[in-house]
Amino acid sequence: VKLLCESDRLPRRDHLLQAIAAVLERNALSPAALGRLGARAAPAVQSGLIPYLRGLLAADDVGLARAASTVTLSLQLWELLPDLLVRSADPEDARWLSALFTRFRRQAQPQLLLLCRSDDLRVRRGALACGAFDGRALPTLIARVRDEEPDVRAAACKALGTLRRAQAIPALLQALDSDSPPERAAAAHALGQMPGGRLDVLAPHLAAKGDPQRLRNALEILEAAHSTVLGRRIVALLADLRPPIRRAALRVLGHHHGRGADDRVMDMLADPEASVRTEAVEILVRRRCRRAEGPLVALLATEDPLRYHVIRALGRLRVVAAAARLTALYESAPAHERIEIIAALNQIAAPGLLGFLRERIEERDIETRRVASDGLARLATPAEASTLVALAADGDWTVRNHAAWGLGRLGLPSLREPLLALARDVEPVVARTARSALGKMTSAGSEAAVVAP
Amino acid sequence: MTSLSDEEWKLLSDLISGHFGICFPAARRGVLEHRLRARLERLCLSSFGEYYRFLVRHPERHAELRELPALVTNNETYFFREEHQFRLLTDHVVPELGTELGQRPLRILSAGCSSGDEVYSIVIALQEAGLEQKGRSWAVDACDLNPQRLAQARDGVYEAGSLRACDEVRRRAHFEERKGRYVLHRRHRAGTRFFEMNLAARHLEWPSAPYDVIFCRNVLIYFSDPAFDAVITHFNRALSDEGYLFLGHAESLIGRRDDFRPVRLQGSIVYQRRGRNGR
Repeated sequence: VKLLCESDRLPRRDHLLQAIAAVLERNALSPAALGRLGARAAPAVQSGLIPYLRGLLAADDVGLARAASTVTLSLQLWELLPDLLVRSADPEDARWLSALFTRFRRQAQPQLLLLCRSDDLRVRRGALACGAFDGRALPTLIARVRDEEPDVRAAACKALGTLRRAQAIPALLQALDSDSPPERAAAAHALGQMPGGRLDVLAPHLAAKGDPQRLRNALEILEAAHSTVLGRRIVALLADLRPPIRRAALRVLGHHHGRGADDRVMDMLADPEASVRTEAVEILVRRRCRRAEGPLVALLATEDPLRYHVIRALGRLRVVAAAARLTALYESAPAHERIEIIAALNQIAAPGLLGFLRERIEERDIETRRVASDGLARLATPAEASTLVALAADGDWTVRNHAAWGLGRLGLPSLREPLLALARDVEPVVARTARSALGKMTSAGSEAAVVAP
Repeated sequence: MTSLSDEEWKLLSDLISGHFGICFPAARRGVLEHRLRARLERLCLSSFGEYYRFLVRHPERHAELRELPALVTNNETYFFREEHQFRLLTDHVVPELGTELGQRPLRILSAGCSSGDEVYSIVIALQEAGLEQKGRSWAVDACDLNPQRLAQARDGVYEAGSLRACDEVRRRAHFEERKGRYVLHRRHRAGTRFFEMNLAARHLEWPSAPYDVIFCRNVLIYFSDPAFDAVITHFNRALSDEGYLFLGHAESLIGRRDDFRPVRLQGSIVYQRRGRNGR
């Protein structure tokens, strides 16, 4: 740092700066060490480092600007903080700065709270958008939700969201009715981060006759917060005439507990709107609802586009009772369903599947062969090792990759040779899979050697 | 939802590169995963493998493929980004064309124009340089593969973030504030034309009159090497002899192409198509 302060030759100084920044980014210094570093650098800093860093913070060169940002915060050069915050106008830089401020939360928070009141809107917005705060910042952040600039108000909402304190809810509710779309979006996102149990204040927003966008926003907030409040109102909205409202209400209901909620979700499998039915299938899978297995299997008989989702759902729920129906459906199903039938059967892993998969691997369609080889790799027994060895020489890298994984799963010493060949595969993904499989075989072999008498 | 596996990453990145030229090497794998995750949820899909299969087999895959570029590209753009390049246009390129511009419009292409911020920055820069008063006109074509972005460009309505490099004077001069958003004045839309185009397509149809200047900034940075070269070859065909190509500061043709020569103007590098005589 001393060298950096004293150097005035530009290329060397830039390189020094980047080296120091790299060291600081890779090593989290304790607050005490940071304090000592700042104190020792202080005299030299005054001799020209500040203008140098200020120039870089305003430069197009992202690498140097970020190095300057790291050094600014590490040396606690607070007079440069406004210049640094101006960079946050670029979303990529903003994300990077947010991560940086998280590391310096304790040191930077008092300065950031002062800058939240800066006359420069870019600085106010930057402080709120990138700063890392704790509960002590709450009053300042809430005050900024009433800032005259919509951008700043939106950034304040974002900052309040990360705090997850219920005290912020009234201010955020006000912002939710703002004229500014970014502010409304930020407020909605922040409310979705609040404790779900405290969101009953959204009840007035759930009036069926109110503004539909307002209603949808409220439902999306409840869903994001995994809230279980306002249950009766949510159930009533499942009968709303507008499909987007029914779908949003259904997503909220997905987080409610108990058989009653299961039943309501299952009722929605008969909804007239395809997107609502699809959502219901998805939610039933997420809830691992075993009682839905029968109704889902029954839906295989329909020609509805929903069947595509039902097939996948049966696989994810591993419904063994559906295996025979899925296999029977295969020949008559359209191409996109056929692939999902194989994938679902792979997950169910019902007895007798290997023969079906061997037939699929002989098909011409590459995607069919890929999914079938995945199944063979998962389910093959040592008796089918030769099938996997044959697949290891396939022309398609995905098939070879599955073969490598499957051979490793079997772990037979006789399969080392084909795996060694795959470890030198032209496709790096396949080579990595094979090397990983060989590694496991070696360690398993070593363990066996230790255990053996 | 499961995370993006090695195999899924390769399948999806190969598919995206094949369709749009955009590549996701290992270092940007997390970006791909992050950008697609919300889409998977929206489609009620539970894994990236399912999404890949959706893109290659589902009856609605064509609509999804039209959405995909918008999902995986960085639409980051704002008015007067890297403003010095607009000064190079007005201070060097326009004077170089001299009296020729008295008989025909200055022809410019903004390739990968996103929501039009660059296009209108060009027009405003030309207007601020007084071209209209000198009797000059222009035709600014703008293409992008994302139809929603093009619709936004045609509307000319922007959030405050798009104006972050505009000072107060420019904000007032060129925009009208309406409910926290900024509406571009109609006079800045004159001479602009937006159309959908995938720069990574094998064959591109260009207007018969070549462009004097092409802006393609911070677009090719995400392209695979073969796709990058193919696009530059397209630009070579679309540019006039000794026409200029403006790239972003992280994009370079130096050491890559003989058909363009780097030209240093006011400390910045731009690329000039070599004329038929090889100059």
